[in-house]
Amino acid sequence: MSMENDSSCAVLPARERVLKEVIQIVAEFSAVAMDEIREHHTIFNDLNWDSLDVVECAMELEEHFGISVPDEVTERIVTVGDIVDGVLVLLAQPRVEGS
Amino acid sequence: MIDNTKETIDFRVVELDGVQYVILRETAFRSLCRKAHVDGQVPSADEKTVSDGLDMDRASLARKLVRRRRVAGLSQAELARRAGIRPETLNRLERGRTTPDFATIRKLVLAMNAAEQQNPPLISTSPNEEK
Repeated sequence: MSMENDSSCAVLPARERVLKEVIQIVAEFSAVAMDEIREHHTIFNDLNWDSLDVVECAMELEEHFGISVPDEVTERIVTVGDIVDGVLVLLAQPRVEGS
Repeated sequence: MIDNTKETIDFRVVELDGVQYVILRETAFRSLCRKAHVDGQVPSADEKTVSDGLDMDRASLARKLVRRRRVAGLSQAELARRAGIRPETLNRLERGRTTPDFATIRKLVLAMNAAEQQNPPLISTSPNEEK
């Protein structure tokens, strides 16, 4: 997992670190500037996403965090905060190592 | 075996665009949420949920899919084949007649991404006929 070296916030709680990275990814699919994206923003109303954006963002999150996002998780996403919560849950799950 | 201590809930299963939904009374839904310790908060009327988004963005999604497919240099039949979906299904999607589920969209995106990696799209493309 890549992380920015930000000296202004040396040690962030895990959720805050994930939130920053999620917002960076979310901004790629949004007309909203990254520094204006908030956790309470809804993906369909505030970010003006459609379902294609949802899937492409999920795929980007999978690659970035090394997780697999099931469709049933994707279907429950309403806000940016929901994305962060979903990523945290998936990061906490034990991963199956490949042979 | 009948267990008289269990609560019974009346519900109906309906299918819309190939997706099954459950309809039940709101009071029953709230009761289930309380027992499952989940937040069954209903979004406000002006706030779209994922299901609302899936229904309402059908036309927008259809246009995007067509554009992406053309940028990837694929015919409708070829994209359907690569994505492992029926050509008729893709045709309906691109005409905005049905709402794809996330699994289908993922298959299409993967196929188009793979095609673009094999044949990088040209920077400038001439507009084709609209569907």
